[in-house]
Amino acid sequence: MSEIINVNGLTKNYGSFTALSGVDLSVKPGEVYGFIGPNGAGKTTTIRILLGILKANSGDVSVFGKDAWKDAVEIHENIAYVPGDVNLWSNLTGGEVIDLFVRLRKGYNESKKNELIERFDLDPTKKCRTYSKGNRQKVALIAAFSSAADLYILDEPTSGLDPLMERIFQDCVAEVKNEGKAVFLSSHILQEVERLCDKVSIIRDGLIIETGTMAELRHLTRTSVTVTTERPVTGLEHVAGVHDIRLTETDLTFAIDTKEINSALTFLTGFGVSKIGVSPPTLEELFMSHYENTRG
Amino acid sequence: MFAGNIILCKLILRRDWLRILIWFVVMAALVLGFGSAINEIVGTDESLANMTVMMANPAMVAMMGQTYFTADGVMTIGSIYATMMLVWSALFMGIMNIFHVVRHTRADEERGRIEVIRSLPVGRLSSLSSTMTVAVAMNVIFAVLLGLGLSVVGTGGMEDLGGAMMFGCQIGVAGLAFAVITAIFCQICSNPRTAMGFSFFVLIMMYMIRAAADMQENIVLSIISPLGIIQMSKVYVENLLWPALLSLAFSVVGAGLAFYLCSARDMGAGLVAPKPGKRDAAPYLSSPRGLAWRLLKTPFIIWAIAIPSLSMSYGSIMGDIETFIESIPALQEMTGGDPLILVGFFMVLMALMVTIPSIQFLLKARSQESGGYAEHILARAASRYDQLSGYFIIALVCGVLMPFLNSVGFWLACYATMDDPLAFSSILVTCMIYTPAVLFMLGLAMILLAYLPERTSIVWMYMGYSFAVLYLGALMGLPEWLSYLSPFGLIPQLPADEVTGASVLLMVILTVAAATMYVLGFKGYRDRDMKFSH
Ligand SMILES: Nc1ncnc2c1ncn2[C@@H]1O[C@H](COP(=O)(O)OP(=O)(O)O)[C@@H](O)[C@H]1O
Ligand SMILES: [Mg+2]
Repeated sequence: MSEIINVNGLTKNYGSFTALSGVDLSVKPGEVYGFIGPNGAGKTTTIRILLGILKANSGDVSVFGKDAWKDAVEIHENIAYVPGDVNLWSNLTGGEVIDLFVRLRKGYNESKKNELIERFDLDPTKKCRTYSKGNRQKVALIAAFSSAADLYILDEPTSGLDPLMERIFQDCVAEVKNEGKAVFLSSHILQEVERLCDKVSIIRDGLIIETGTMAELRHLTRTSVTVTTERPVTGLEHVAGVHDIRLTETDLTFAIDTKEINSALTFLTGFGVSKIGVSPPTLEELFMSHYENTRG
Repeated sequence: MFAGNIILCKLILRRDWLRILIWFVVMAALVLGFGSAINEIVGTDESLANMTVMMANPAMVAMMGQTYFTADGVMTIGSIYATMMLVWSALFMGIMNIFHVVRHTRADEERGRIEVIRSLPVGRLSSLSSTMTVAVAMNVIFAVLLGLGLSVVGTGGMEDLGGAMMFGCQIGVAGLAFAVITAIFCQICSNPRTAMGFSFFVLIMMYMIRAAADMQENIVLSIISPLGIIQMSKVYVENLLWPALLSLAFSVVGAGLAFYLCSARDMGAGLVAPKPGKRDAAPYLSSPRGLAWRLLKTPFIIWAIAIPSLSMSYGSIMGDIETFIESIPALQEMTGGDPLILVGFFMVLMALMVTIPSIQFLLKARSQESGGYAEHILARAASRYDQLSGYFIIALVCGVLMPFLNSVGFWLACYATMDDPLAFSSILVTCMIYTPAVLFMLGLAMILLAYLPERTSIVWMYMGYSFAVLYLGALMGLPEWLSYLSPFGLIPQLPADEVTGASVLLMVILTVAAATMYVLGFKGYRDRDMKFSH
């Protein structure tokens, strides 16, 4: 078993609507795999198929070398999962739910559980109906990370967490990665994936449009730059990789293919840079550049 | 402190006018519907005398209240009506007031609505005061309109305006008493569910205290209960005003207490902090089946208490069953005077009744699925079979245990009230003979759950159909074949009917069909996508 997850030509229809068409994925042990795409791209659908909660219409889906649908229960013994919408039973306490979740798997660690409750700063004696979205996510995360799994499947796990808790989440991911476990992380926030993942697939409208290491993908991305110069800039449009030049009274804004950033900066220094702001690419910009690249 | 009261009252009315109107229609149907029908039931001197005997039965006194007489020592239609209806109408008014007060104080507070309102120029106490203002208005209007209505629809002495208005006045006063009690609990408890729970607990206690008071003719106990004190006005006979005034005085003092408590507490908090919940799960909460039991335990226990209570209350008329049938022409016509037919009729209704929780418990699996709760379970080391079986087993146990409890309750009541009580074994068979029909309904629910998960309401429609043909069908004499389209109609109604070879065969067929549907249901549930609601 060399691959943790192996998906080939996965297609899924909801009635006449095609949610996934020909998705391929391959996750290896020790890998943190990012699965990014905008809302409605098909991330949750893919994950539910990996878990045997939905059935594929066609394609091979295997986890730990076993069939995701037929051998679901066996596979799940070594999986920890955090769903996208964490709905919890309103009249159970968070502590009860965590206990239930960890007991439904084989190995779990009581002291790890208590440590995580502490770290995530959760009050486990409260009924779930009083929890905010972030607190419900914490319950699911605590249960997931106190289990000794080989694969962690996390569906947009940070959408309700505050920045402090997001950091703790990232530490948890780093810890299981160090133990050589695989993580499959879906997200619609590029930065989060950038920080954590070794490899990324981008999905949109049910199609995988790009797969590669983060470094490989960075070539596709654009960084947006805002500069103020001493002398007016001329001729920037001829520099390779520059797009969307906009001039305001005081400063100049443009987008630059991340791989060309060096030549653009060298060019700008000729005009005396007095102020510069650089913002990392967003998911939207990444898609823009992807479509321009495939077209051009 | 009370600034903005009027604006908030208008807000409540704008949000709730339809809700209040529906309550009014329900109350009017109850009070006026029976008010216009009673003359037909006890219109003759003979049936009046029969009913007077019936009403003096201790079980009836416990359920409805003490009887009272005119100076000539007889009951009038009015006094029979008021004995039967006053406590129950007041109880309904109490329920309405509890919902109203919790909804506009605690529940709003929990949702943060009051926080928004408090930031406006309104006083600390205005949310409580507007809620209570509307409650007072509601109770007064209900009292006046129902009283007037009763004098219009009533006949045989019940058109007496004084008596009718006194009836309305008493139920309004009782409603207000429960609004006040609820308002107090809303200050003490820190969330709407406990406030509601305590208020309903008090409502039930007050009903029971009054039952005990009426059976012992204990005046002090009667005065303690808002449901007891109102009976002392002897509506339609003496029309005494002091009980209502005394009850109102209690309410005024209670309201003062509620306002004081409200000013003394923080918003969002109660006077009593909620006790922290469990940090760790009980040992049994470690499997999908354990979870199913944890989720269904409370409703299961409530049904297990409610079913025998209901059959006991029905059973308690068995002592006077002949008089009872004679005094109601519709029953006389339906049964031809044979009490056993009435027993059979009652048991088929109870069989339908116990099917409700059974189906509910099974379909809990569906709401677990659509709400995304089952996802947590199925993503762990639990199969579809593990997930569904918990709900299935509880539904099955419910479908067999509840009819048993039903027969126990009925038998106890028969034993207590009849000179020559029916044998337990025959009551047991009468109840349990419907088991194949219950199992069949459960099978239908399984099939829907497995193959048409978004259409599970079909089983409720079929239940509704069964109720209609068996209940109304019997009373109104609908064609018999209509009831054969329901599994419950295929079963002989013991003890009056006979068990024939054909009916045994039908029962076997129903059972086999049910078992087949269970197998297919499990298979279908295993092989399909989980369907989420978005
Ligand atoms: N049960 C369903 N029936 C019909 N359409 C669905 C269903 N579930 C998801 N979809 C559709 O499939 C697409 C992919 O959804 P999803 O996998 O939830 O996306 P993501 O998780 O990436 O936001 C969306 O367009 C969504 O509306
Ligand atoms: Mg999603």
